Amino acid sequence: MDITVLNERIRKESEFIDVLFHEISKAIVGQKNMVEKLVVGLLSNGHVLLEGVPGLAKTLAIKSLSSVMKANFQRIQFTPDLLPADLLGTLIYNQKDGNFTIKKGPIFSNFILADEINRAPAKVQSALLEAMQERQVTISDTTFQLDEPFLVLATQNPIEQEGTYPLPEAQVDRFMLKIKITYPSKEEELKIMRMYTNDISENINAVVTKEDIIRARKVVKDIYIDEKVEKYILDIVFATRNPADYGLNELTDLISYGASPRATLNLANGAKSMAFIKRRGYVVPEDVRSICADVMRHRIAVTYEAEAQEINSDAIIQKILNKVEVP
Amino acid sequence: MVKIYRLILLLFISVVTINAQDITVQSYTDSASYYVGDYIQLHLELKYSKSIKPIIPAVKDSVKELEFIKNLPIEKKEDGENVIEKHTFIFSKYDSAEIKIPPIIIYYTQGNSADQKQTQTSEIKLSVKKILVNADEEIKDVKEPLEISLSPWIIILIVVGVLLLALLGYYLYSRYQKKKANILPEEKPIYIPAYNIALEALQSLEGRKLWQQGLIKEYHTEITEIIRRYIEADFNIPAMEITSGELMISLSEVITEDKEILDSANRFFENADMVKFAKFNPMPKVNEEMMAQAYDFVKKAKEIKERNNGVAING
Repeated sequence: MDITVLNERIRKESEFIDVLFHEISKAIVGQKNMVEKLVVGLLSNGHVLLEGVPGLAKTLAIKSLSSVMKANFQRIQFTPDLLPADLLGTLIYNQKDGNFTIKKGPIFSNFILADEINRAPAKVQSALLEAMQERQVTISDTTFQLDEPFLVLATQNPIEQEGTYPLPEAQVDRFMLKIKITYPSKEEELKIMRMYTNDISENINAVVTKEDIIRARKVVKDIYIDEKVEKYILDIVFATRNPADYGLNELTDLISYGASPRATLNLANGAKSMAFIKRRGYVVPEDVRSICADVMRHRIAVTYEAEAQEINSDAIIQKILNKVEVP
Repeated sequence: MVKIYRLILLLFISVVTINAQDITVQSYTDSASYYVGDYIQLHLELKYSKSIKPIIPAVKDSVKELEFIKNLPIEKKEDGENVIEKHTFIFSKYDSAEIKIPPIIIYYTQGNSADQKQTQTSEIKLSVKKILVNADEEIKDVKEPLEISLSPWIIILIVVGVLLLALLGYYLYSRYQKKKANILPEEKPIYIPAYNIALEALQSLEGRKLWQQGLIKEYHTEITEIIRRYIEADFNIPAMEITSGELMISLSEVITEDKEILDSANRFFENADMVKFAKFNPMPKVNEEMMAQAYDFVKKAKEIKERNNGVAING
């Protein structure tokens, strides 16, 4: 593969990226990392879970992203009384002709905003996560393939635990990225204040088509990833499983289980998408490092000892990145 | 006085002798009065002719009012045509009581006859009392430990022991000193400045002519590694564990006055990344320039470090 030709293809197919960022910035101030990672999810065909305290524009960011797209968008507010049929659809009895007809649920859209996913009971979460994995839904005897692109962007609040149903590890693993959103800086918050108190926010234009995304995804797949970078990814993932092999003995008692092979795949795909966003036809270690925490934080389980020492998976990933040699 | 005689008489009243034709059995205790917890010795004495075979019963089960402690060894001796056999059983009682030890029945046979005959001892009465405590008396402390006066021999023995220990200690100390004197002083590690290490490594890489042999990727990997190791050693930046972009950010924090060297380093790492990660095949001139840039970086960085430290780096 000729990198020069690939670079030219990327330059051509990634023109919408700048427009997309520009349009989103009309509604979202700062949070560059979050917006960038949402685009990584979009390009890598991976679902995204956003976690942050209330009021950090999680829902707004996803709504803005979907507004930029000329695609179907559905917002589902997850509540404790939500049923799988409310999400997937059901059979409706038609009294006129005495037949049952299928009524498709809101999941039959390109972009799904699963707001506060941890507020719905396990059966609803499970129905959504199954659709996320299989990309198909079965209602009665009929199986329907979901449209492409199909992307689930879910939010959850980490501080309120009462009346919530935390997602099990196996189901969180279905999300390619778990993005943690932090507070904006002082300058950013000033901008937010001025933008919303003076009502100077602009309308977001739908500038990106479904075809743009599908074409971009094909280019992303072709991005070159050198064996040195592949080894780097493997080293990072294996360091979560056998930290002692990488001189990280202090982590042995802190990790109860390490990242799965799905983490390896998502690291490689995510790094390719990052390279695409940076208009590069090849992956550099920087791409891997920039998405590493988002790909791995929900795939590493920490031990009780780590929790007692207030060490979370982010701190463990940081230690690993500081130790594993960059190619 | 009359009371004492009566007491002695009572004690011996408990001793009863039973006479059969050729066997005599008697049982008795040492005293008729005991305190709670005292050992009560019950003796059973048999005197019989050699033709008699007595059967000794299980006395410990017969005396139910007392707690059995143990048996003492049986004493047996011959006295002419007779045998004298003495059994002693030790009992105790942990509460005050008036005790009656029932008669002990001894069965026996004579000669070859299978007929079993019996004889028995008499009942014994005992009294077990509580220890009387005089509440009016002053409470006394426990007894002081006994003072044992040391004999002069023990004192001499202690003194000799201490002297021997002192001599042994002196001997071991002098041996250790001799050994220490024989050990050669440790050689101080030779400090080679990172600058010299980097220059030597660059010369070695240049001499190996990697890119000229088509090993372009290996050449770029090694040359960046040399520079990264130099930066790590001289600027205390973990250059081996960070990406080129992060390295440039860290370098720009320590090299503030010379933008030219930063630009040059940026080009150097970007070129190398292209070769390492993007299968980029640079022109031979670029490969040569990489070596020149590497030498130049090390030399300029050394000067910057000297200026920052205010002292010259050795070498």
